[in-house]
Amino acid sequence: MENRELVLNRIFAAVVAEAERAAAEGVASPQEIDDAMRMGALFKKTPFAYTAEVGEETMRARLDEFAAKYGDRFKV
Amino acid sequence: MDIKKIGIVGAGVMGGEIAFVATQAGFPVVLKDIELRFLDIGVANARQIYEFKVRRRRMSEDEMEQKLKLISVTLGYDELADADFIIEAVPENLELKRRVFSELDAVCSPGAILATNTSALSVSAIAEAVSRPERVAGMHFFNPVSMMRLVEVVRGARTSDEAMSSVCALAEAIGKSPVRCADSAGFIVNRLLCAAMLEAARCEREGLMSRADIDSALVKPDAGLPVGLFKMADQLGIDLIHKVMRILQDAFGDRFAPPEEVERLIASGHLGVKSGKGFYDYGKS
Repeated sequence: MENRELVLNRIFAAVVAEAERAAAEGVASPQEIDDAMRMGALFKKTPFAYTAEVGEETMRARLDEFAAKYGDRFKV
Repeated sequence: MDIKKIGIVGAGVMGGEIAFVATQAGFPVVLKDIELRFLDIGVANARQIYEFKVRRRRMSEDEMEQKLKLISVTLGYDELADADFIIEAVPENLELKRRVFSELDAVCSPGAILATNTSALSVSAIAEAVSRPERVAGMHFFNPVSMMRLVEVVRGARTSDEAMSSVCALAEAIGKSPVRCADSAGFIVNRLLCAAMLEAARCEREGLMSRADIDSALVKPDAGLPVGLFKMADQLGIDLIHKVMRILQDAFGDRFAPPEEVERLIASGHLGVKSGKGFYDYGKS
Protein backbone atom coordinates (compact mmCIF):
# COMPACT_ATOMS: atom_id res chain seq x y z
CA MET A 1 0.00 0.00 0.00
CA GLU A 2 2.88 2.33 0.74
CA ASN A 3 4.29 1.42 -2.63
CA ARG A 4 1.04 2.43 -4.25
CA GLU A 5 1.30 5.94 -2.86
CA LEU A 6 4.97 6.22 -3.79
CA VAL A 7 4.34 5.01 -7.34
CA LEU A 8 1.48 7.45 -7.92
CA ASN A 9 3.48 10.29 -6.38
CA ARG A 10 6.44 9.51 -8.59
CA ILE A 11 4.37 9.30 -11.79
CA PHE A 12 2.56 12.57 -11.16
CA ALA A 13 5.71 14.33 -9.91
CA ALA A 14 7.46 13.30 -13.14
CA VAL A 15 4.64 14.96 -15.08
CA VAL A 16 4.79 18.08 -12.87
CA ALA A 17 8.55 18.41 -13.36
CA GLU A 18 8.23 18.02 -17.13
CA ALA A 19 5.32 20.47 -17.24
CA GLU A 20 7.35 23.07 -15.32
CA ARG A 21 10.22 22.66 -17.74
CA ALA A 22 7.89 22.99 -20.74
CA ALA A 23 6.32 26.14 -19.28
CA ALA A 24 9.75 27.62 -18.48
CA GLU A 25 10.86 26.93 -22.06
CA GLY A 26 7.80 28.79 -23.33
CA VAL A 27 6.17 25.77 -24.99
CA ALA A 28 2.84 26.92 -23.55
CA SER A 29 1.48 28.62 -20.42
CA PRO A 30 0.64 26.60 -17.27
CA GLN A 31 -3.06 27.01 -18.03
CA GLU A 32 -2.60 25.84 -21.63
CA ILE A 33 -0.56 22.85 -20.45
CA ASP A 34 -3.27 21.86 -17.97
CA ASP A 35 -5.97 22.29 -20.65
CA ALA A 36 -4.00 20.14 -23.08
CA MET A 37 -3.50 17.34 -20.54
CA ARG A 38 -7.15 17.42 -19.52
CA MET A 39 -8.50 17.26 -23.08
CA GLY A 40 -5.70 15.38 -24.85
CA ALA A 41 -4.73 12.79 -22.23
CA LEU A 42 -7.91 12.89 -20.11
CA PHE A 43 -5.88 13.59 -16.96
CA LYS A 44 -7.94 14.79 -14.00
CA LYS A 45 -4.80 15.64 -12.02
CA THR A 46 -3.39 18.11 -14.52
CA PRO A 47 0.10 19.18 -13.45
CA PHE A 48 -0.41 22.78 -12.34
CA ALA A 49 -3.85 22.24 -10.81
CA TYR A 50 -2.48 19.17 -9.01
CA THR A 51 0.45 21.19 -7.66
CA ALA A 52 -1.98 23.82 -6.38
CA GLU A 53 -4.09 21.08 -4.79
CA VAL A 54 -1.13 19.45 -3.04
CA GLY A 55 0.40 22.81 -2.18
CA GLU A 56 3.35 24.47 -3.86
CA GLU A 57 5.68 23.85 -0.93
CA THR A 58 4.74 20.22 -0.52
CA MET A 59 5.29 19.63 -4.23
CA ARG A 60 8.62 21.47 -4.14
CA ALA A 61 9.76 19.33 -1.20
CA ARG A 62 8.60 16.17 -2.97
CA LEU A 63 10.44 17.09 -6.17
CA ASP A 64 13.61 17.85 -4.18
CA GLU A 65 13.35 14.54 -2.34
CA PHE A 66 12.75 12.58 -5.55
CA ALA A 67 15.56 14.43 -7.33
CA ALA A 68 17.97 13.42 -4.55
CA LYS A 69 16.75 9.80 -4.53
CA TYR A 70 15.96 9.06 -8.17
CA GLY A 71 17.77 11.59 -10.29
CA ASP A 72 17.73 14.88 -12.16
CA ARG A 73 14.50 14.21 -14.03
CA PHE A 74 12.74 15.53 -10.91
CA LYS A 75 14.96 18.60 -10.66
CA VAL A 76 13.30 21.82 -11.82
CA MET B 1 -11.24 33.51 -42.77
CA ASP B 2 -14.15 32.05 -44.66
CA ILE B 3 -13.56 28.36 -45.32
CA LYS B 4 -15.52 26.86 -48.20
CA LYS B 5 -13.53 23.73 -48.86
CA ILE B 6 -11.09 21.70 -46.79
CA GLY B 7 -8.52 19.42 -48.37
CA ILE B 8 -7.33 16.43 -46.35
CA VAL B 9 -4.16 14.84 -47.66
CA GLY B 10 -3.62 11.27 -46.50
CA ALA B 11 -6.92 9.43 -46.15
CA GLY B 12 -6.50 6.33 -43.97
CA VAL B 13 -8.03 6.14 -40.53
CA MET B 14 -6.86 9.57 -39.32
CA GLY B 15 -7.91 11.29 -42.55
CA GLY B 16 -11.30 9.62 -42.31
CA GLU B 17 -11.78 10.76 -38.73
CA ILE B 18 -10.88 14.33 -39.65
CA ALA B 19 -13.27 14.12 -42.62
CA PHE B 20 -15.96 13.06 -40.18
CA VAL B 21 -15.50 15.99 -37.79
CA ALA B 22 -15.23 18.48 -40.67
CA THR B 23 -18.31 17.28 -42.55
CA GLN B 24 -20.29 16.96 -39.35
CA ALA B 25 -19.72 20.69 -38.92
CA GLY B 26 -20.89 21.21 -42.53
CA PHE B 27 -17.58 21.75 -44.34
CA PRO B 28 -17.13 20.17 -47.77
CA VAL B 29 -13.94 18.11 -47.79
CA VAL B 30 -11.76 16.59 -50.47
CA LEU B 31 -9.81 13.54 -49.39
CA LYS B 32 -6.61 13.02 -51.33
CA ASP B 33 -4.37 9.99 -51.26
CA ILE B 34 -2.06 8.10 -53.60
CA GLU B 35 -4.11 4.91 -53.91
CA LEU B 36 -7.80 4.23 -54.17
CA ARG B 37 -7.70 1.70 -51.34
CA PHE B 38 -6.51 4.35 -48.87
CA LEU B 39 -9.33 6.66 -49.96
CA ASP B 40 -11.74 3.76 -49.42
CA ILE B 41 -10.42 3.27 -45.87
CA GLY B 42 -10.84 6.98 -45.11
CA VAL B 43 -14.39 7.22 -46.43
CA ALA B 44 -15.35 3.91 -44.81
CA ASN B 45 -14.03 5.15 -41.51
CA ALA B 46 -16.01 8.40 -41.70
CA ARG B 47 -19.11 6.40 -42.64
CA GLN B 48 -18.57 4.02 -39.73
CA ILE B 49 -18.55 6.89 -37.24
CA TYR B 50 -21.72 8.35 -38.79
CA GLU B 51 -23.39 4.93 -38.69
CA PHE B 52 -22.59 4.65 -35.01
CA LYS B 53 -24.37 7.97 -34.46
CA VAL B 54 -27.35 6.79 -36.49
CA ARG B 55 -27.56 3.59 -34.43
CA ARG B 56 -27.47 5.68 -31.28
CA ARG B 57 -30.32 7.76 -32.78
CA ARG B 58 -28.28 10.92 -32.63
CA MET B 59 -28.67 11.41 -36.37
CA SER B 60 -31.08 10.26 -39.06
CA GLU B 61 -29.96 8.14 -41.98
CA ASP B 62 -30.88 10.96 -44.38
CA GLU B 63 -28.75 13.38 -42.46
CA MET B 64 -25.86 10.92 -42.57
CA GLU B 65 -26.13 10.57 -46.35
CA GLN B 66 -26.23 14.36 -46.71
CA LYS B 67 -23.09 14.69 -44.61
CA LEU B 68 -21.32 11.93 -46.52
CA LYS B 69 -22.08 13.75 -49.78
CA LEU B 70 -19.82 16.53 -48.51
CA ILE B 71 -16.87 14.16 -48.95
CA SER B 72 -15.25 13.83 -52.34
CA VAL B 73 -12.10 11.88 -53.11
CA THR B 74 -9.19 12.36 -55.48
CA LEU B 75 -5.85 10.84 -56.39
CA GLY B 76 -4.47 14.08 -57.84
CA TYR B 77 -3.74 17.53 -56.48
CA ASP B 78 -5.91 19.48 -58.96
CA GLU B 79 -9.00 19.15 -56.79
CA LEU B 80 -7.17 20.93 -53.99
CA ALA B 81 -6.43 24.06 -56.03
CA ASP B 82 -9.49 25.89 -54.70
CA ALA B 83 -9.35 24.57 -51.12
CA ASP B 84 -8.99 27.30 -48.47
CA PHE B 85 -7.54 25.03 -45.87
CA ILE B 86 -5.41 21.89 -46.16
CA ILE B 87 -4.88 19.37 -43.38
CA GLU B 88 -2.01 17.02 -44.12
CA ALA B 89 -2.25 13.63 -42.39
CA VAL B 90 0.23 11.42 -44.26
CA PRO B 91 2.54 8.98 -42.37
CA GLU B 92 5.08 10.47 -39.92
CA ASN B 93 8.11 10.78 -42.14
CA LEU B 94 9.79 14.14 -42.62
CA GLU B 95 10.89 13.57 -46.22
CA LEU B 96 7.40 12.39 -47.20
CA LYS B 97 5.70 15.33 -45.49
CA ARG B 98 8.08 17.80 -47.09
CA ARG B 99 7.43 16.32 -50.51
CA VAL B 100 3.67 16.57 -49.94
CA PHE B 101 4.02 20.18 -48.79
CA SER B 102 6.06 21.20 -51.80
CA GLU B 103 3.46 19.56 -54.07
CA LEU B 104 0.70 21.42 -52.19
CA ASP B 105 2.65 24.65 -52.47
CA ALA B 106 2.67 24.31 -56.24
CA VAL B 107 -1.07 23.83 -56.61
CA CYS B 108 -2.85 25.51 -53.67
CA SER B 109 -4.11 29.08 -53.81
CA PRO B 110 -1.71 31.60 -52.23
CA GLY B 111 -4.16 32.34 -49.42
CA ALA B 112 -4.67 28.74 -48.38
CA ILE B 113 -3.58 27.60 -44.93
CA LEU B 114 -1.42 24.48 -44.98
CA ALA B 115 -1.73 22.62 -41.67
CA THR B 116 0.12 19.47 -40.69
CA ASN B 117 -1.28 16.89 -38.31
CA THR B 118 2.19 15.79 -37.28
CA SER B 119 2.43 14.41 -33.76
CA ALA B 120 6.17 14.34 -33.51
CA LEU B 121 7.95 16.12 -36.34
CA SER B 122 9.05 19.75 -36.42
CA VAL B 123 6.50 22.05 -38.04
CA SER B 124 9.29 24.48 -38.95
CA ALA B 125 11.20 21.71 -40.75
CA ILE B 126 8.09 20.74 -42.73
CA ALA B 127 7.42 24.41 -43.56
CA GLU B 128 10.86 24.75 -45.16
CA ALA B 129 9.47 22.82 -48.11
CA VAL B 130 7.13 25.64 -49.16
CA SER B 131 7.39 29.19 -50.47
CA ARG B 132 4.91 30.43 -47.83
CA PRO B 133 6.08 29.10 -44.44
CA GLU B 134 4.07 31.86 -42.74
CA ARG B 135 0.91 30.01 -43.79
CA VAL B 136 2.03 26.66 -42.34
CA ALA B 137 1.07 25.58 -38.80
CA GLY B 138 0.66 22.37 -36.86
CA MET B 139 -2.85 21.07 -36.23
CA HIS B 140 -2.35 18.04 -34.03
CA PHE B 141 -5.52 15.99 -33.49
CA PHE B 142 -5.83 13.25 -30.87
CA ASN B 143 -7.13 9.74 -31.34
CA PRO B 144 -9.96 9.04 -31.70
CA VAL B 145 -10.51 12.42 -33.35
CA SER B 146 -14.28 12.06 -33.19
CA MET B 147 -14.11 11.82 -29.37
CA MET B 148 -11.11 13.87 -28.26
CA ARG B 149 -11.62 17.63 -27.94
CA LEU B 150 -8.03 18.76 -28.00
CA VAL B 151 -6.19 20.12 -31.00
CA GLU B 152 -2.63 21.32 -30.37
CA VAL B 153 -2.09 24.30 -32.67
CA VAL B 154 1.62 24.55 -33.27
CA ARG B 155 3.47 27.72 -34.19
CA GLY B 156 6.44 27.01 -36.44
CA ALA B 157 9.42 29.38 -36.58
CA ARG B 158 7.79 31.43 -39.36
CA THR B 159 4.07 30.83 -38.77
CA SER B 160 2.08 34.10 -38.88
CA ASP B 161 -0.37 35.21 -36.18
CA GLU B 162 -3.05 35.13 -38.85
CA ALA B 163 -2.36 31.49 -39.68
CA MET B 164 -2.43 30.57 -35.97
CA SER B 165 -5.80 32.32 -35.63
CA SER B 166 -7.16 30.60 -38.74
CA VAL B 167 -6.19 27.15 -37.46
CA CYS B 168 -7.68 27.88 -34.03
CA ALA B 169 -10.87 29.21 -35.65
CA LEU B 170 -11.28 26.09 -37.78
CA ALA B 171 -10.61 23.84 -34.77
CA GLU B 172 -13.41 25.63 -32.91
CA ALA B 173 -15.72 25.53 -35.92
CA ILE B 174 -15.45 21.73 -35.99
CA GLY B 175 -16.17 21.44 -32.28
CA LYS B 176 -12.63 21.16 -30.95
CA SER B 177 -10.74 23.13 -28.30
CA PRO B 178 -7.46 24.50 -29.64
CA VAL B 179 -4.44 24.93 -27.36
CA ARG B 180 -1.57 26.92 -28.82
CA CYS B 181 1.97 25.72 -28.30
CA ALA B 182 5.50 26.18 -29.57
CA ASP B 183 7.16 23.89 -32.11
CA SER B 184 8.93 21.86 -29.45
CA ALA B 185 9.49 18.07 -29.50
CA GLY B 186 6.36 16.19 -28.44
CA PHE B 187 4.48 19.51 -28.12
CA ILE B 188 2.61 19.29 -24.79
CA VAL B 189 0.67 16.07 -24.44
CA ASN B 190 3.06 13.51 -25.92
CA ARG B 191 5.93 14.93 -23.93
CA LEU B 192 4.10 14.82 -20.60
CA LEU B 193 2.48 11.45 -21.30
CA CYS B 194 5.87 9.93 -22.11
CA ALA B 195 7.29 11.36 -18.86
CA ALA B 196 4.44 9.59 -17.01
CA MET B 197 4.87 6.31 -18.91
CA LEU B 198 8.61 6.29 -18.35
CA GLU B 199 8.22 6.81 -14.61
CA ALA B 200 5.61 4.04 -14.45
CA ALA B 201 8.04 1.73 -16.28
CA ARG B 202 10.85 2.61 -13.84
CA CYS B 203 8.61 1.85 -10.87
CA GLU B 204 7.80 -1.54 -12.36
CA ARG B 205 11.42 -2.33 -13.11
CA GLU B 206 12.39 -1.44 -9.54
CA GLY B 207 9.84 -3.99 -8.37
CA LEU B 208 7.62 -1.51 -6.53
CA MET B 209 4.45 -2.77 -8.20
CA SER B 210 3.46 -4.89 -11.19
CA ARG B 211 2.30 -3.10 -14.33
CA ALA B 212 -1.24 -4.39 -13.81
CA ASP B 213 -1.28 -3.01 -10.26
CA ILE B 214 0.15 0.32 -11.38
CA ASP B 215 -2.52 0.58 -14.08
CA SER B 216 -5.33 -0.29 -11.70
CA ALA B 217 -4.03 2.28 -9.18
CA LEU B 218 -4.00 4.92 -11.91
CA VAL B 219 -7.65 4.44 -12.81
CA LYS B 220 -8.90 4.67 -9.21
CA PRO B 221 -10.75 7.94 -8.53
CA ASP B 222 -7.89 9.49 -6.53
CA ALA B 223 -5.55 9.19 -9.52
CA GLY B 224 -8.30 9.62 -12.10
CA LEU B 225 -6.85 8.38 -15.38
CA PRO B 226 -9.38 6.90 -17.83
CA VAL B 227 -7.00 4.05 -18.64
CA GLY B 228 -3.71 2.89 -17.12
CA LEU B 229 -0.47 4.07 -18.70
CA PHE B 230 0.75 0.63 -19.83
CA LYS B 231 -2.61 -0.09 -21.39
CA MET B 232 -2.64 3.37 -22.99
CA ALA B 233 0.78 2.62 -24.52
CA ASP B 234 -0.64 -0.61 -25.96
CA GLN B 235 -3.59 1.29 -27.41
CA LEU B 236 -1.46 4.04 -28.95
CA GLY B 237 0.99 1.47 -30.33
CA ILE B 238 4.36 0.52 -28.82
CA ASP B 239 6.06 1.48 -32.10
CA LEU B 240 4.59 4.99 -31.94
CA ILE B 241 5.50 5.41 -28.26
CA HIS B 242 9.03 4.23 -29.04
CA LYS B 243 9.34 6.70 -31.92
CA VAL B 244 8.10 9.61 -29.82
CA MET B 245 10.42 8.72 -26.92
CA ARG B 246 13.39 8.66 -29.32
CA ILE B 247 12.46 12.11 -30.63
CA LEU B 248 12.09 13.39 -27.06
CA GLN B 249 15.42 11.78 -26.10
CA ASP B 250 17.14 13.58 -28.98
CA ALA B 251 15.59 16.88 -27.93
CA PHE B 252 15.75 16.69 -24.13
CA GLY B 253 18.20 13.95 -23.15
CA ASP B 254 18.25 10.48 -21.69
CA ARG B 255 15.40 10.92 -19.25
CA PHE B 256 13.29 10.09 -22.32
CA ALA B 257 15.32 7.03 -23.44
CA PRO B 258 12.85 4.22 -24.26
CA PRO B 259 12.78 1.60 -21.47
CA GLU B 260 14.42 -1.78 -22.16
CA GLU B 261 11.02 -3.41 -22.01
CA VAL B 262 9.82 -1.21 -24.88
CA GLU B 263 12.91 -2.14 -26.91
CA ARG B 264 12.23 -5.82 -26.21
CA LEU B 265 8.58 -5.53 -27.26
CA ILE B 266 9.58 -3.78 -30.50
CA ALA B 267 12.23 -6.41 -31.25
CA SER B 268 9.69 -9.21 -30.87
CA GLY B 269 7.03 -7.43 -32.91
CA HIS B 270 4.69 -6.89 -29.97
CA LEU B 271 3.31 -3.49 -30.89
CA GLY B 272 0.31 -3.37 -28.58
CA VAL B 273 -3.40 -3.93 -29.16
CA LYS B 274 -3.03 -3.87 -32.95
CA SER B 275 -0.66 -6.85 -32.95
CA GLY B 276 -2.45 -8.76 -30.18
CA LYS B 277 0.29 -8.26 -27.61
CA GLY B 278 2.22 -5.44 -26.02
CA PHE B 279 2.62 -4.79 -22.31
CA TYR B 280 -0.45 -7.01 -22.03
CA ASP B 281 -1.63 -10.05 -23.96
CA TYR B 282 -4.82 -9.48 -25.95
CA GLY B 283 -5.32 -13.12 -26.78
CA LYS B 284 -4.59 -13.06 -30.50
CA SER B 285 -1.60 -13.31 -32.87
